[in-house]
Amino acid sequence: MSMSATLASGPSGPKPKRAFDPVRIGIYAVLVVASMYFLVPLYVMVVTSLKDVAEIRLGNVFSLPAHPTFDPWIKAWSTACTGLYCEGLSPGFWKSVYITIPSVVISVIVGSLNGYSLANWRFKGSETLFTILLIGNFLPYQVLIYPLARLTSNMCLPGTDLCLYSTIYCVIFIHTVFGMPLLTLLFRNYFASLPNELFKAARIDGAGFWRIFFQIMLPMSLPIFVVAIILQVTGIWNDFLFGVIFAGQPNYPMTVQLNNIVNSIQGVREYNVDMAATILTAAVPLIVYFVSGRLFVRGIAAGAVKG
Amino acid sequence: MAHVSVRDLEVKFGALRVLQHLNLDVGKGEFLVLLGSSGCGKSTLLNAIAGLLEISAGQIYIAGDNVTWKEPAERHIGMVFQSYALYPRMTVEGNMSFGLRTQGAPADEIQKRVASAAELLHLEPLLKRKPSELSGGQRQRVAIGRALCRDAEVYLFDEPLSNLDAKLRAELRVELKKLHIRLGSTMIYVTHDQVEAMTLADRIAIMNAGVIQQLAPPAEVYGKPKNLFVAGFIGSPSMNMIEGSVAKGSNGPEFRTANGTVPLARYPFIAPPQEGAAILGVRPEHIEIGQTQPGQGGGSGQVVVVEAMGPETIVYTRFGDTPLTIRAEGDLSVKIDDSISYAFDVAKASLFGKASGERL
Repeated sequence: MSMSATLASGPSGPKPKRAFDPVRIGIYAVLVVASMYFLVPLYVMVVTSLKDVAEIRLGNVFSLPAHPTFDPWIKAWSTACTGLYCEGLSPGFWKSVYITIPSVVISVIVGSLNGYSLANWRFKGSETLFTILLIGNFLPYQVLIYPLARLTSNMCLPGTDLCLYSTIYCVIFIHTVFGMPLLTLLFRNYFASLPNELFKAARIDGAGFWRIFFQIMLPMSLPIFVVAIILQVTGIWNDFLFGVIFAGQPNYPMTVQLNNIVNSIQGVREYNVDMAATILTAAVPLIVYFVSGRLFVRGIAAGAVKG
Repeated sequence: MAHVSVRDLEVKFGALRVLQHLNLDVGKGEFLVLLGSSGCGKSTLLNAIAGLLEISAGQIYIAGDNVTWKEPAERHIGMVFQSYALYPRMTVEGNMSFGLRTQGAPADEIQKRVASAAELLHLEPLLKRKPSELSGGQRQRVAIGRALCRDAEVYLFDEPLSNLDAKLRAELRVELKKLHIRLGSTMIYVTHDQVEAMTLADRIAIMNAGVIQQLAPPAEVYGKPKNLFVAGFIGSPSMNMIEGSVAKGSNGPEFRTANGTVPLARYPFIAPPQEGAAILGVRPEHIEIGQTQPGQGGGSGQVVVVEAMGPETIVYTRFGDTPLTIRAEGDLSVKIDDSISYAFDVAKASLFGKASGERL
């Protein structure tokens, strides 16, 4: 047999894939278990929220609803009682929106400016400032609550009784402050990973602090802004403690409202309403994750390259 | 006064002095190359001239103007970076006009400048593209074009060709040379590539450890290196270094080694010869294969390796214990283990004091 015939008769082209590759089986086993872990409780919640109280009392947690009803959802949104009022979750939803949007916008703007100046405009003491901010990431924030409550209750308009504490501005202020360490770290590391020569070129082209930020840095920073916005939206939306402490009773966010609905029992515990209310409260962060998940992962990786 | 002057410049990074008492004058229209290995301070010097880093002492003048405390944008410079540093979200046109737009130049002037720079660098078909849609060579041409759009007294180049492959590098090198001839502007160019330095420069400043070792035209840097560092740095294959001592012989000064004596009568001493330990540096092409004539120094040895390159042949042999490289023209019929004789061309050699390392 000639040499070329030997070559031609041997294996050629792509290596055939095995149908049941052990690595693949392992990966899918882990993925299935992990998703069950999160999906089964969600399934129970959804199913329960669609049953009426009588059907829940039968105890078949996993069964599908015999007579699906959306009444618990409507009640959770508009008429469920917190002990004081019977307005459902809806006022809390809007309060959460009013708290979250300004907190996210302000903290992301300030955080990105912090990160930009710490990464590109080093000044005397900038490294020390950055270290202090880093330490802020590791402080348990509970230790700061009492001092902050005292501080904000003393921040009053001169000559009036109007103080910051127990207002919607107070909780926005607190969220902005607590967002600073993480956001500054995130943005500083991202901007530090951009090539320094770009910054030098822009300076030679005569661009100053703001022009470089808006015309050079911002257009390159979409991924890290997405990460920052997702972190802040979910973090602030899910916050309970700052809302209950700093917002004041008329401004309680959705999470506090949810807690009050679930924990105030009048007669029979309405599990279906509780479940519907919980899903409604969790819907915003869930939607944010689903819509922007791909961008989020890309942004996290982009920020992590270099520090 | 020179077009760009650096006076007693000192740059410190923390406690580390990168540049010390550095003086440099660049003439109007001159192409000056700063050459050195990494960490020698050449990029630091360029960044200091551009105003991109804090200096700790000294002054910098550009076009007679003391710019020591001025912002980079006020120094009338254009700069090209190794990584191109194009603004990724702007088109080629946007990149080139950014500096002019920042200064608030009128639209028709921006248009005119961009058009002329684009024409010069053959960028017209690319003006609407984004940097990510360009090849490496095109990107670097855009970066050069961006620098040209600025109304600059001096153009600074920080290793602009290092990221390109060999063929493109050679092409752009020629384009840069043409550009310089056509524009006649002052250019300061940092590189670690000898070939770039030798081909582009009017004068080369060879730097080591933050000090300019020699500042001279390429031919002089190559032919009359000022000290051992320059002699060893420039040239490939590098200069042969033979240890010995200078002594007075019957026919004038001689260079004595364990393997024979090299007469120095034809060596161009810069000062009257002194006796003492010295090093004789001979470039590979200044050794001739063949019998030594009377009055010439030379020796013989066995061939270790032969590299036939086509137009030239590199022969590796020995002078006593010292390895010796010979570069001969054309194809030689020399084989490994042959015994050959060779002679040094002393008139073109370099002699350095062993202790000082300076040219004698």
